[in-house]
Amino acid sequence: MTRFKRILPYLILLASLGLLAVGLWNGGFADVLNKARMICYECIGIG
Amino acid sequence: MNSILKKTAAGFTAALIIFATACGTKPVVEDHGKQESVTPTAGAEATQTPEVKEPEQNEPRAQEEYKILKKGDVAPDFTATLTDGSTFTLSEHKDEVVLINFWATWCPPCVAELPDFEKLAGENIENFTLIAVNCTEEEKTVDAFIEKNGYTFKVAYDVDYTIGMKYPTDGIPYTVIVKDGIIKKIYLGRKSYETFKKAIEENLGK
Amino acid sequence: MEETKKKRGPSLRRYAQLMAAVLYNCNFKGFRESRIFKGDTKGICVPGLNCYSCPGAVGACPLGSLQSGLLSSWTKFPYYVLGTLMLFGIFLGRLVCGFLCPFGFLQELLYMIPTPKIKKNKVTRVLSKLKYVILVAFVIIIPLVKFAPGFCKYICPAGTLEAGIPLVLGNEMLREAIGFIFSWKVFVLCATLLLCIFCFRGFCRFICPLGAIYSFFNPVAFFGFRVDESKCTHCQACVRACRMDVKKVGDTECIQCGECRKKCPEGAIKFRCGKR
Repeated sequence: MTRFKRILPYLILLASLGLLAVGLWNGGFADVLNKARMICYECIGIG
Repeated sequence: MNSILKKTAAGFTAALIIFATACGTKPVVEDHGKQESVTPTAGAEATQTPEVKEPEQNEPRAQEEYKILKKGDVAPDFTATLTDGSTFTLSEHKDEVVLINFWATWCPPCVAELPDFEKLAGENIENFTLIAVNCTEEEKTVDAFIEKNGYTFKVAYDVDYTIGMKYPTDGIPYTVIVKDGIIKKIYLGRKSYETFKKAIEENLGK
Repeated sequence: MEETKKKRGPSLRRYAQLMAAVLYNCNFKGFRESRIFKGDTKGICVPGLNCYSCPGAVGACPLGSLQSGLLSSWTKFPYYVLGTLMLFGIFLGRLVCGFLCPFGFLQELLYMIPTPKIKKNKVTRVLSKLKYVILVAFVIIIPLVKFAPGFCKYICPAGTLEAGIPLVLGNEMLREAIGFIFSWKVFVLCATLLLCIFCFRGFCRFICPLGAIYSFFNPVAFFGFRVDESKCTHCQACVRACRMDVKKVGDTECIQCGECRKKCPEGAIKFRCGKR
């Protein structure tokens, strides 16, 4: 159990890097960029 | 040690604020990307930059980016590829009333407007054309969306943001109504079927 | 002790908070023209809660990106945003809340207004679980089921303050477009700001879903304040001094501000980086 606790952060780190890599590969960066520079007014409560 | 750190932090913060303020007032900012490199603020700079900018007129760049369209402006011409594979050129529809809508599949109010456009386009109003320009999404995303919803009106791709740059807006849904190549109406945010219908009829002179 | 501390001016944390607020929002000309920034840096999420519709914002809000990613997840699942959140989480945990969040900074400034204060109690401890409910309902379920960014649209006071109000003030066409949702959000903003005058970081403790996400990582994050168990006498001085609803240093409610370090009679609280 303690050993698992010790390696848990590294597992999360690996998982996050993995997700980040997958995200970058499938165009996640452009996706975030598009949504951040062309906003939807109703979505921020102007409506 | 702590005080040195604090002084450094204070200095850094002050420098940062001054830098950011300077960026805010100066027309050229390096890290703002190509699209934002020119802001027509200071008169002196504005007269210097055209030498560099004018040969690039064909390319949709900074100046168009900053020209926010108003009622009465000439509607910038564009040629778009539609989802059915054909092309649409605005200048070919000079005698008609054209409704240009900018939308995206991730934008709930835009998506909510599309059934109204389907209805408007389906009414086959004489001398009226409707085109919905998608904002920078991949072609396959747009195709999947249109197929899922079974829309038949004109939907254009704008993957590289060339049309969007001619009709700059911070937010969508953004709809312009063009007649005789002149912008007659601009709508920001979601509007009802009746609003569009009324505006179209007004411009058609009905 | 307190007196001398005060005379020494703002702490390092204050500078970090100020720096983060300025860095996230350094497109100053956006405020003047009431136009948002469109550069490529907007594809990167900042760690703190900072609306990307703010005219000054040069980065994306992780929470806003997560919601808009989830509502279009039928085409593309937001792996990139999730990865970014996990990366910030595992390295910094809620250090982000304590050091890098502009809205947290604003709340702390508001708390400096001298009024009677509401101390933490059983009710606030229960209320501190509310943020998890908001996370699940407004950030995950509403975008997936109702196809709307629930938190941004109906709650986020940071969005109203940074984006809603400046954009509406600067744009005549938007002024015509406002309706009930805008009034509701202004009400939420006012209520939140008022709450934060009387209750330390009320928004962070009870409402913020981003804090809720980071809180899962807080106990295992690489950086943060930890208690040296060999020195600790379990006197609870740290927990008593803390204004958040913590049960121990570095738990899910701890925002890693480090205020408790000065209160520990044994000097058992240390900032730990990297090695566990």
